[in-house]
Amino acid sequence: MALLSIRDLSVTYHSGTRHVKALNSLTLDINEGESLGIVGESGSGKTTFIMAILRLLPKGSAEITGEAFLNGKELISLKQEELSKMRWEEMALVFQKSMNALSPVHKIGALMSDIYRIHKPEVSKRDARRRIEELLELVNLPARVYDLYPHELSGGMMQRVSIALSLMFNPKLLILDEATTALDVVTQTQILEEIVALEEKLGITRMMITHDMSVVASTCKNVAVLYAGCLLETGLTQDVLVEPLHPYTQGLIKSFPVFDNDTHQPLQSIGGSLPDLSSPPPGCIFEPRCVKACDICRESMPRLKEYGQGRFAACHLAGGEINV
Amino acid sequence: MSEEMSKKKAPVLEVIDIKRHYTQRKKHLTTDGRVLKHAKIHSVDGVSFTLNAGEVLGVIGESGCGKSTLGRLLVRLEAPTSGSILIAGHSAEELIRKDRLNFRRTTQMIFQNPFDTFDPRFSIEKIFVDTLMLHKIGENNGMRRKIVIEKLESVGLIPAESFLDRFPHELSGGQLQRISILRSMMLEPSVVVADEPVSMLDVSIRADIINMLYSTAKEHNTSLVFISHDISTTRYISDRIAVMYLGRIVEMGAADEVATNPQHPYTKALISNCASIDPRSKHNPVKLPGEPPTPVDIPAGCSFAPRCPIATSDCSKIGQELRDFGAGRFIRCMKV
Repeated sequence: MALLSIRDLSVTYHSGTRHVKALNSLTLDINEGESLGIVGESGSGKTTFIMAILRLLPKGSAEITGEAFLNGKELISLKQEELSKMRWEEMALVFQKSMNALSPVHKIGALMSDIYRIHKPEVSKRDARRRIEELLELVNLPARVYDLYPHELSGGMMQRVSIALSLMFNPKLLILDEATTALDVVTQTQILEEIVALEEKLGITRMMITHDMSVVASTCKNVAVLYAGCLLETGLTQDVLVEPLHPYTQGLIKSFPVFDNDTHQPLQSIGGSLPDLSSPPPGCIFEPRCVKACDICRESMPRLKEYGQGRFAACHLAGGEINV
Repeated sequence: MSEEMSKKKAPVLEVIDIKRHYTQRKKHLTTDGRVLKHAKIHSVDGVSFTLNAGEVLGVIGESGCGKSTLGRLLVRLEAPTSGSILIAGHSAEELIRKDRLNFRRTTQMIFQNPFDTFDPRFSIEKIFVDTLMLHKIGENNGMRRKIVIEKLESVGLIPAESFLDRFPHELSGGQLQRISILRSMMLEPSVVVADEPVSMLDVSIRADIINMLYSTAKEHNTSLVFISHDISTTRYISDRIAVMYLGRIVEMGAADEVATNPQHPYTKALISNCASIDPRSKHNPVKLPGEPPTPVDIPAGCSFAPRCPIATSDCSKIGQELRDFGAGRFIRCMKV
């Protein structure tokens, strides 16, 4: 059974007379124990998507429709009190900039035990400290971090603190929003390896937002490609990144510099930029930038179609149904 | 690729043992619990290299290794604590004292965030025309405008007239970075330092910017110092690569050589950690124990020794020099 299933989730931002559809009928399943990487350029709705299911979007200006079930519970209509309980305990989020996520005026220990004791008020201070030191050890941090301030830690250490924080209650769903993007390659690989190992140990399902395809290639089982709020392609990483069906995915892969490549093949970009989402193109959302676009693409938005087990793509031309 | 050419020409840029040290005002707590007062930060700690006309040198390293400080020193946004920079054989110090404007014209910088590069109140036209006017290019604003339109069109910002009246915030990051590159290149400088010029941009448009930067540099025979933490991109654009660790160059050589046949253990670790986008390829990243150190309390001997997988007790005692291995290859390691 799917741990998280998203059904027709849409988010529209209202500002004055403009209505920006940042997320357009997203339907997605993540099975328990699996890992999903969500890729796409900035403005593709990656962060809007997780902010919507965590209900962190501003109430007045963002309108959410659709459903998101986590373990059978519907998140979008959940009451605030129940939601607060679910945050950290069932789903946890690691932000990109942990230096901004951690309070600069509190010691790491104080910050962590605060969160711990809000969810478990009966626990004594000493027990809380023991649990936190356990967590710090889990992410390869020395116990002395408990008495340090965030500014005394390096970027990698702070990111580890954020991850420790997110693992506090063994959440079922761990969401990483560009959690390793700001780190150095060496630290990034180490932290990713640690996360993958912890995931197996604790049975965590991971959803990871990134624009770095290599991170997805090395750590995620499944991948979903978002563009301008629409899901364009999803499936197993080994299928999608090796034989992409959608022209956008193909373009993304071509524009990524390949290290192993000895021949100096020129890099190719995807021309143009994201469409204005307050007045999207009438046909396929990617049509204005697509090199393969033909008449039908200008007329209607293609629906997601299945191409093999768990493999979906939204393109009129995928699978060679219409030849150009 | 420019090896044969480079032998004949004098280096455009020669950097001789430059250092930049900062003094910390606050007390510094080292990882082993000692407190240092007025600690010295060895941001750049003795870097030497030469750069020929039209050559692209990639500088890679972790954050805090001093690569950005090096870039700022090269265009003289900061003065080095010691050492000297020669531009076409003349001391940069003297050049800037004699004619600051002319010096700025010969050395230009491209920054990471194009939105911070420009004054938000100036239109694109004003940004360009002001620069041209300052450097006395073109006789009147009409002519300058013509030059600008020509330049904009040459990099695919079409129709150019529509860009002139816009302000920086009305353009996308990619367009603005193109304008930033164009403004630097317009003055036909001999040295351009690009500090992480594409790390802010989306992957889908990075390739265009890289290609544009490369072709404009080659077109004007401008030497380019490309600073980045992204090894794949750096390899793609560079003729030579220098790997920095704690303010020093630990390995330098032809880009393909360094990338395919790294010798220094740090370079090996960096490159092994560079993941591929092909999920089928298995890579075995070399693990480096410990955190990247801060350049405050530099270990005696080889600065990489505490994290080095092949270090012996000698490594932490004897300081290492950058040794010449022929064919432009330099490595700072006693084990090689």
